[in-house]
Amino acid sequence: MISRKIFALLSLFLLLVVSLQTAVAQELSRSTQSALGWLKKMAEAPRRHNYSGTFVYYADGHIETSRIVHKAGSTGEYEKIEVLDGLPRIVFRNNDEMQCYLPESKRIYTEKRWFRKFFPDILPLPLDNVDENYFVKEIGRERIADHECQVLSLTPRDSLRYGHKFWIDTATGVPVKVAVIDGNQIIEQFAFAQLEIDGGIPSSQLKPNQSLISGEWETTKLLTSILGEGELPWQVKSFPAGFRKLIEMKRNLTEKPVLVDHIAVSDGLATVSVFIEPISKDAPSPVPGFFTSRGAINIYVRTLNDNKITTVGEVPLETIKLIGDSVVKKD
Amino acid sequence: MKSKVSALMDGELDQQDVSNIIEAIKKDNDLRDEWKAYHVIGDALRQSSRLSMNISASVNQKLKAEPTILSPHNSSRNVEKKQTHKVLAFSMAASVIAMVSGWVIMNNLYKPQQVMVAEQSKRDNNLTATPITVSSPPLIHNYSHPPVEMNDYLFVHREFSPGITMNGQVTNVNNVTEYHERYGR
Repeated sequence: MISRKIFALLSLFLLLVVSLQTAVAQELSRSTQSALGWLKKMAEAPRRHNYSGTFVYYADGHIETSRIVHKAGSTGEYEKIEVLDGLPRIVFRNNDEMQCYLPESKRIYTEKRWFRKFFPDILPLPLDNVDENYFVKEIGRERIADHECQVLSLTPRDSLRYGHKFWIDTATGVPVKVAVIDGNQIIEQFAFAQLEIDGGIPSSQLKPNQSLISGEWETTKLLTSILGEGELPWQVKSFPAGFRKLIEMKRNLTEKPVLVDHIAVSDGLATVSVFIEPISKDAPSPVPGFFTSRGAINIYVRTLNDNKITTVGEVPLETIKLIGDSVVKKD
Repeated sequence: MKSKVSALMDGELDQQDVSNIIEAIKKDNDLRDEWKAYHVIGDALRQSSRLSMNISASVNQKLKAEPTILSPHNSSRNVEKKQTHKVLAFSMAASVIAMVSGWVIMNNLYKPQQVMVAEQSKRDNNLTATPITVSSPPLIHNYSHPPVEMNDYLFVHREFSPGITMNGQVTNVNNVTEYHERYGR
């Protein structure tokens, strides 16, 4: 009797879920132009303004503080980011050229074609299909680090991606705080504790100082070769809804002499990277499975013939798996 | 008292009883849980956009704490009636998770294009739980030797997404759950 009742209820539930699929998918309306306007302003601002300050990264109870100095001028952008907690790391950037100093190990990594994605410059330009995948909404004003901010929420239109919340300086558009949200929970956030926008920045602040560059440093050049459509022997056969391929590359990694294949996939905001490399006979065989790092990052490793496919991104595990599993070798 | 909670949900009580039971619910945690459970079931059936609460953890706990719940061999009719409600409440709630989770797995494995349904329902039910929920507690342990390239991957990936991870940092890489354990293949 009871089990029949339960069964009936379950069937009903099943039916409801299936029949309501369409209704649910259309639950959120289009984002307003005004909200999308804030998003555009936020995307452009970090490339147009000078700013300097200290920001805090927070995830899983872990806090990391960094200092940033950023200058925008006629010759482009100059930036210095210095991680103040844990192992010292200092990144210098001039437009697409990046140098990362690791003083402890006396190593420098350089990259000539850095696509620059560090807080607060986090949005891609142009902003293509954000509205297709997220409902962007203005939700009032708040004061953050002494800046009047417009608060913007980006609710995912399905659960293939996380939500976001941005606090945008109303005067300039520079984001003062950003958060990645899963359900109602903040899983990762960056926030300026102190921030000055449009102040003067002496160029000496943007160069490695003498004490830093003295001594013997081992420099590793990171090379990226961007490939044309279809040049890689791999293909992501089907993308989860809203995702599309951004770019295909071959690149070297810091610890390895061989080039790995790299496919970047994006939904306009969240990005997933797929790395494919042959399994080395000397190395221990890879462990397929799911891994997490700090914050919103999820990792999925699988093998395909003699290759290891690692999918990495700030999206839910299910999305990572969908993308990772749809990688096939081209005939 | 608990049967009155369900009666209240169904609108079967008169004014005086309603006031009494609401007072009782306010004071009694168990009754309040009962009340929430019924609402969760109702929401699930109506496919409301938000469930009244996130029940995954508490349901799991209750299921563990009350293993006998699924064998209602009681002579008293009254007791039996109570038990029925309880069984329904918890098995229903648990089934919601089980089904949703099951769908996620199945869709992932066999019907990727359908994942929206399962995923959507999962989100709408506010069940942040992954398929891990229905299985035994997940094997979350430190991945003792994170592959060297994992750091590299994270570092390179950061080109496209904001983040603090830069090479040189020992990233906190955990093995969430064994692949085989999770997907059985």
